[in-house]
Amino acid sequence: MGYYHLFSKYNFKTIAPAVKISEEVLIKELKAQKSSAFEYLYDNYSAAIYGVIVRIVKSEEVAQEVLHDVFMKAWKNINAYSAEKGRLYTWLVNISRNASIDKLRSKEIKKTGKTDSVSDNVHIIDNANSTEQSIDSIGLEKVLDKLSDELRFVIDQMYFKGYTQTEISEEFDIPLGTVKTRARTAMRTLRELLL
Amino acid sequence: MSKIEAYISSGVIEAFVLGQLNESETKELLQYAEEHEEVRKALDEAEETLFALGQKGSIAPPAQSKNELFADLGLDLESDKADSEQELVHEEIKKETKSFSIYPYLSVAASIVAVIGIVFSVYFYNQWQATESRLSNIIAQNQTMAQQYNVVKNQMEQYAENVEILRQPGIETVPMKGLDIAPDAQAFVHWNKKTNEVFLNAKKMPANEMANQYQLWAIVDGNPVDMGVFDVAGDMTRLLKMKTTGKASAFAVTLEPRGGSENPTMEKMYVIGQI
Repeated sequence: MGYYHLFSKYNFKTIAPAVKISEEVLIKELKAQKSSAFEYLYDNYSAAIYGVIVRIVKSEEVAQEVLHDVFMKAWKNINAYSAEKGRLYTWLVNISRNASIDKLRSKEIKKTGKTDSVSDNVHIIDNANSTEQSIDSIGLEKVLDKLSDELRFVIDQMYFKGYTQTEISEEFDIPLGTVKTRARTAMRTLRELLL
Repeated sequence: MSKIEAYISSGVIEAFVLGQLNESETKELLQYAEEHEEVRKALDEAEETLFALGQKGSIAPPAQSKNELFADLGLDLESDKADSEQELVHEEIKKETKSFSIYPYLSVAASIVAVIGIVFSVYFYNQWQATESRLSNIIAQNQTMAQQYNVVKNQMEQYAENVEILRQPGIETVPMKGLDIAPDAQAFVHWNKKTNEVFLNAKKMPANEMANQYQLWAIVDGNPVDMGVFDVAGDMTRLLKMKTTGKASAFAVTLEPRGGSENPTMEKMYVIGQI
């Protein structure tokens, strides 16, 4: 019975800035299928998740479908979640990436013929969104632009396109060791830029 | 490089946070993380970075998406509930939130107050300085006026005394005119023939040096008689009381060594007046 329980009746959105509940407690409440815990999860993670989905599927309409599916799945499969999936966010963002790539690969999307590169679309999406959103997105772009081309490439392939390190190595003919080093260097650089 | 460092550098953690490890690789990583603090730390940092990256790229989904999701799952939105209890709780939470966030506002307010305070301090310091200098001017003026008043008051008292003396019956005034040595010099003897008192008005005599003194003489039966010595210095409004004489045909003033002489030095005669 963590103190999360004390707030479970109330609107998390209102108090979200003031109340940070521990992940452990949140997971416990989610597994107990508390709708207030789910709402807390949504309020705290949906924007970050949606940002990733939008950048992969490059369409807000499609992104909304994917976001819906991801949270449906999260709610229904919460008991399949374990420490082996990483933190809740890590789990959610990986579900989201896979769902987005699946959606992108489905024939339905292919018919619309949207096959622009990620970075082009990120700009298009940024420009199409509201002022507040584009500020955030430009913020991300600025951070990613600070990476060297090599590091940026690895992050784009892994983070937005869902390629594994082995796939990148094989497809782009880069030694696996180099891909691994770049992946690690890129994450460390991002950490310095972001935290 | 140690085995653990090599493991951390192998890209396995990045692969994990991006969901790219298989089951056995994941088990191995979590095992390492439990056994080695460095692995746990690297894992935590990678997950934090992933979340920070997500937050940096946040795009708020439309509000309608949330409503549809919760409707599809058959869940109630806490934010839609609005019974009276909820209202009360809202108030409490607001208060609580307020108490959490009052300090930034307080510090901003305090800064503003401090800036205003400094501005006012400077303004009032300048005002005070100006007032202070005006006040010292006025004090100086006041002192000058008091001094002038004292001078005038003394002069007036002396004039009053002089008037009392001159009002006495039997006063004869003998004007003495300047001689060649000091043509502009002038003096008056006020001689009371009833009491034989002699008063001298030496206001228009040139000031004497310290080594010398003026001496008044009365000419009695053709001979000079000493009537006393005096100095001319400062305000000479006061009538000088000299020695008495019963009879005289003339009065004269000579300049003599300090203390006076037995006989007048004729070359240093300044003024003379016949009766």
